Amino acid sequence: MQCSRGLEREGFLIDKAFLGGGVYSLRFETQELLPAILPGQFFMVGPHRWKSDPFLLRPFAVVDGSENGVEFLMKVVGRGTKDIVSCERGTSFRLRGPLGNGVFTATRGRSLALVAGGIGVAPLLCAWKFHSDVISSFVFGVSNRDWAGVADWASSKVSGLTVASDDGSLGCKGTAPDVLKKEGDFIDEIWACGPVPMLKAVYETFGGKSLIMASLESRMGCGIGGCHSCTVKTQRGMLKVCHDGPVFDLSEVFLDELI
Amino acid sequence: MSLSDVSKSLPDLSISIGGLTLPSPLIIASGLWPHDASFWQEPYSAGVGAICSKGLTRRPRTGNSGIRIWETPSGVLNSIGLQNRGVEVFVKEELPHLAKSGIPVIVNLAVESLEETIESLVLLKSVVKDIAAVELNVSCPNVDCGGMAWGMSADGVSSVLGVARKVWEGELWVKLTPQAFDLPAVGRAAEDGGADALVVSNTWLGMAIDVETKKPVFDRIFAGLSGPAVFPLALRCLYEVAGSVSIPVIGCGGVCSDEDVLAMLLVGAAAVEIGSMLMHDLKCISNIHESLTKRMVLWGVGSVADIIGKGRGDRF
Ligand SMILES: Cc1cc2nc3c(=O)[nH]c(=O)nc-3n(C[C@H](O)[C@H](O)[C@H](O)COP(=O)(O)OP(=O)(O)OC[C@H]3O[C@@H](n4cnc5c(N)ncnc54)[C@H](O)[C@@H]3O)c2cc1C
Ligand SMILES: Cc1cc2nc3c(=O)[nH]c(=O)nc-3n(C[C@H](O)[C@H](O)[C@H](O)COP(=O)(O)O)c2cc1C
Ligand code: FES
Repeated sequence: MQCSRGLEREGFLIDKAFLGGGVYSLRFETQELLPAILPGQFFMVGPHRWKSDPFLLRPFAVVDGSENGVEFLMKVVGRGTKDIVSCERGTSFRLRGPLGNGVFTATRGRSLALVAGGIGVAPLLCAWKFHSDVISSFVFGVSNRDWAGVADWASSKVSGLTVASDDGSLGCKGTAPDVLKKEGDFIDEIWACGPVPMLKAVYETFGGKSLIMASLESRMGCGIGGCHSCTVKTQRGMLKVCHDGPVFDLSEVFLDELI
Repeated sequence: MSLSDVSKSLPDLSISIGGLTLPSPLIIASGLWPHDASFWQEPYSAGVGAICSKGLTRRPRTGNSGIRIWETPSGVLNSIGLQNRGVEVFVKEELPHLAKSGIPVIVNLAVESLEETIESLVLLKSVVKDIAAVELNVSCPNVDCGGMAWGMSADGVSSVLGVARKVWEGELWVKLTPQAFDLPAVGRAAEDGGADALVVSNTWLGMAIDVETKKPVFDRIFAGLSGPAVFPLALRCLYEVAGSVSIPVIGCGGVCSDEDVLAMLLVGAAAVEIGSMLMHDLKCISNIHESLTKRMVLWGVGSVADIIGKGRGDRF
């Protein structure tokens, strides 16, 4: 659906919940209708009160979307996220999106597993909503018990979610890729999102056997493929995370060059 | 006051730069806008006078490794390194679609060697009808071969124009670097070399340290600063250059609002280029165009030409 106002939209924060571990769920309402959002797509987000400082909007994966609403999971890591989660309900925001052409798409008849690390669970929750009928397992790896609230929240959306923690204080003990390995035999395809070390571990464990599609992060300026800020090195050259991704076939990506 | 109230007496926002007439003084600066025709139409095209292409080189460039963008107080540092598909692909695969938009296309040509610049201009000559002007970029701070080195001195700029002006008969702009020690002298060299207009200016050399890793953020250590933080610096450079040459000068650096546009026009800009602000708001140009129009109506000014250079004051 082509929107007459383009990708630059106004939205209002309508709901904010603290889930623990520095993570919030934020829901926004837009006045105009949103186009259909695909799993893996993201928005560039910032309150209107950001005039020049902070200057850049921040990218966040869509957890859930509707005709006039969109939900994100946001982990506070720096000044932008800190300011966003401090906004009151009703605050008006810039919501640029939905962005990204490389998304999660399922192929019928292939076994599919999801593996998330930390806040990387966000786009995979959206993927689950779309493709739960073909997903055989979904492993959510976190560092420790601080993530209990987020894990509960995610479990309320995903039936059969397996939670794993590095120190064993929440769910099973172990890293998400290790736990996934124990859970399943042969998996045709894995969808992954999480910190770079986790993506590397997924690739080391399953690369060559399963197709691994991963949603990547990179610092962004425009979000629309104009500024070349967000590139990652791949077999097909320097590709833009915002335009060619954010979901890439991990076998094409030079993992050691991810920042 | 709404725009409909003033529609009876809308001011004329068209401007001329050398032999070129543009419908608006607001130009999209190089390196910010996709070469994707779907972004060269409504709603993004409203109020846009022209669009500069990404900096092009004779051959494709992959650009720089490592982090490429870093937010700073009211600005950004970038180290893109001229990632582009090369002039040939641009001419064959991209320009035909962009030209169909009807928006004047300014080709930003990054000067590496003189030979490559000549070759590129020869290629561009074959599609001159689709090109409103060539903007020679002698000011990119993020590459090793050529780039900003050409724009640092009057001699460098003279040699570039010496070859470029022989090949390219169309409108020729030169985009200067604020790192030049004597910017007015560089501007005069460009004018003497036959430039039709100057753009003042490209980004400011800066750097950042990631205190967590205790290392420079960028692989190339230095990077180009742009955005609202540089506006007063750019305005001063513009003032100096506009006072030193008689060809049109286009202001560029940190423009975010109609007030910034007016300030640049008042000190002598023939038009302005807007870059980083587009990352903040993809539709900032149409918003600025609307508020600029309203302000001109309030002031009772009929055309942009009536403002240019009217606020220079006297400097002793
Ligand atoms: C496609 C995509 C989807 C994302 N989805 C989510 C999500 O669902 N939930 C979530 O909490 N986070 C997500 N992130 C990461 C999120 O964008 C950053 O955590 C956020 O931008 C940090 O902003 P800050 O101002 O708090 O941090 P600061 O470190 O103060 O930010 C400074 C600058 O660096 C950029 N930056 C810093 N860290 C990152 C990063 N990891 N990725 C990209 N840019 C960064 C910021 O955008 C900003 O421009 C996503 C990133 C991308 C690229
Ligand atoms: C991400 C980015 C990429 C840029 N790429 C180019 C380029 O390819 N060629 C060029 O001449 N200038 C380039 N510039 C400089 C801008 O065109 C402009 O001159 C500068 O950013 C100052 O204006 P601003 O503050 O409005 O952005 C780039 C700037 C940014 C932020
Ligand atoms: S953020 Fe500008 S090209 Fe990706």
